[in-house]
Amino acid sequence: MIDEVIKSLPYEVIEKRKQRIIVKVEGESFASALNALKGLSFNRLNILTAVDFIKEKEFEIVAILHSDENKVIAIVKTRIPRDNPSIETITNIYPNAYKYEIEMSEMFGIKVLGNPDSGKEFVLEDWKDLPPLRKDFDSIKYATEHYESRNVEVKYD
Amino acid sequence: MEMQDVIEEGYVGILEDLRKRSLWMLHYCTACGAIELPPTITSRFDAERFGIAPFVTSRQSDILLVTGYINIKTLRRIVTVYEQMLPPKYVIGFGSCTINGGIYWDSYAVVKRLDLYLPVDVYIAGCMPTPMAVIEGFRSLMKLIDEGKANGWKKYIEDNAYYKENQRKVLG
Ligand code: SF4
Repeated sequence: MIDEVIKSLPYEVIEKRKQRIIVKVEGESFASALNALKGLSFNRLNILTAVDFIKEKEFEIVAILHSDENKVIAIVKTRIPRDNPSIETITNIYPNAYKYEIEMSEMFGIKVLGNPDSGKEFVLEDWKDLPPLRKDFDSIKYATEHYESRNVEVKYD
Repeated sequence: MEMQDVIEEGYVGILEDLRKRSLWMLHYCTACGAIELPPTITSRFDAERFGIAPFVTSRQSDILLVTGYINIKTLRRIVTVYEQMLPPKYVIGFGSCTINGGIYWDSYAVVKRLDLYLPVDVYIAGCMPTPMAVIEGFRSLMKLIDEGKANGWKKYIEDNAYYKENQRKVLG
């Protein structure tokens, strides 16, 4: 089964195991790659998320697909530039990506074109700082500035 | 002392005693520590022999049990729920996350001290506290009620400005 998928895919397959393939695509062809994979029985989107590669100044968008029919996982990865990041929505292919996209745009500041709720408040309320899952966001500094701590000396004996 | 006063005083005394013996708790399960509540209230440790039973609505509960880390989003709801409860009401902070942030001390979302925002009567330390510790916490709350020291709800009315200001600082 995997071999058939790989043969019919016009994208680079960087890893192949018995029940898993990892596909790397260019930023623009992310949606079309997902569309192609959906046609190849990958009917389920498990997760859509991002990873911050701050040294390379890039975000990696990761979608994990699952095929119920063949019990195979496909991981689709793409890189987009870190400043002014934006991707196309994939809700027309996998409708359950809707919340993942809102979360991604809140936690990483990635704009999702075509998703009407991208950029709106999702879990954070009144957030005014950098998006908190970016690597350049200093969580300890934010926490010490905003939330008072109990200043007690801890003694160990 | 007139007869009326004597009766009233005795009546209040009996009421206090009964109150101590029937504490209904609203378990606001914000976090992982909530998993210790099922063994606490079911047959193995059986908190009901102390008169403590879980309850579902805020209006009819006496204890607000905050189990675990509190972030901005839940703090807003906790404050609403606490203000809905009818006095006398007590707050128990459960787990080290409510005391000083616990392992989430550096998180961008977790407020570190519950007692800045609500008057906490009893803290139960531990990550997570065992059912024995939870029952011990309930018992010390009962002792405080007996001695008339569990006055968090009165403090909340008197120092309302202080609590409101702290709440405003983080909730905006
Ligand atoms: S104190 Fe421990 S068990 Fe309780 S909420 Fe915090 S991390 Fe979870």
